[in-house]
Amino acid sequence: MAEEIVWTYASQVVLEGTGASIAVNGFQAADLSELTWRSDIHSNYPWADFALRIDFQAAVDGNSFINLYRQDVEIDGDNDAPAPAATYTYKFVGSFPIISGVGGASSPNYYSLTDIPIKYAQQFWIENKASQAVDHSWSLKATPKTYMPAPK
Amino acid sequence: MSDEVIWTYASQVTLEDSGASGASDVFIAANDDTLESGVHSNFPLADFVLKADFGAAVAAGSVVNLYRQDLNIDSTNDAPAPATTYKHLFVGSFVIPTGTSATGYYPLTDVPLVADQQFSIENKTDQNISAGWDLKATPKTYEPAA
Repeated sequence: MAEEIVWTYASQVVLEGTGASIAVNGFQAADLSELTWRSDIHSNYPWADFALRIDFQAAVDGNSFINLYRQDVEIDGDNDAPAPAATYTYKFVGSFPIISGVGGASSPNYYSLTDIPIKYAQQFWIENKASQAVDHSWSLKATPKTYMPAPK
Repeated sequence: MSDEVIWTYASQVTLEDSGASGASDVFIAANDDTLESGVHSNFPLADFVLKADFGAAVAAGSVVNLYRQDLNIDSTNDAPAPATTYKHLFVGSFVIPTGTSATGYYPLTDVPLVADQQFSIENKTDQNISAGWDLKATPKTYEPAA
């Protein structure tokens, strides 16, 4: 078989390497300066798979999660859309469900969120909807993906 | 690698440049330009940007809705224009932050296009949208990478 649609992946991009701690209900940008995420980095691939490495300062309750938001930037000249915040929970693109009871002295866990639409230029933010503060040194990485015809 | 699917974008089009003010619940057409095939090159989707400010701070849950009116659908006959009594075809909302009154830029992405259309906004904030609002669209499509 040949030319059937298959996934192809670009290199994984580090959007945040060592994020600061985040209070419950707090927002924080994945804002490594060079990674306001433009087409020269994601090659105009239409989707991305995200990986969040994270730990908490104490054990979290059940139904804890981390929300991911996309802030579109440079949408009209150099002007950006408003940054996500507690009073502007937009644009929500998905959630990382957190294992109940993790946190404190435990090691970080890695969580997956796949098939997120991306556009020309954007920055991503996380919102801590767990019951405990996020520990420092969280990271957020993204792997751009698209379709291509399988080789003949 | 080549032939993988990537986004490609056409030039941004100004559909309304300095629109008139509109009260809450009012529809206003972005009628400086229609989005027809000669403009959007038959690209199937577009990313929209609304630049707007409001007469006073808006309440929580405020949005500006976007509607598409399909034009020339049977020869030169158009579909009905969107209005308070004809809320069709709704294609999405620009979400306005609570308490905003100053100028902001709001995105709405991946809106489907047809051959020929005009867009209208519906002010679903509780304040007047000020004169001078803009609506722009960037047509987009997929192409094989070089």
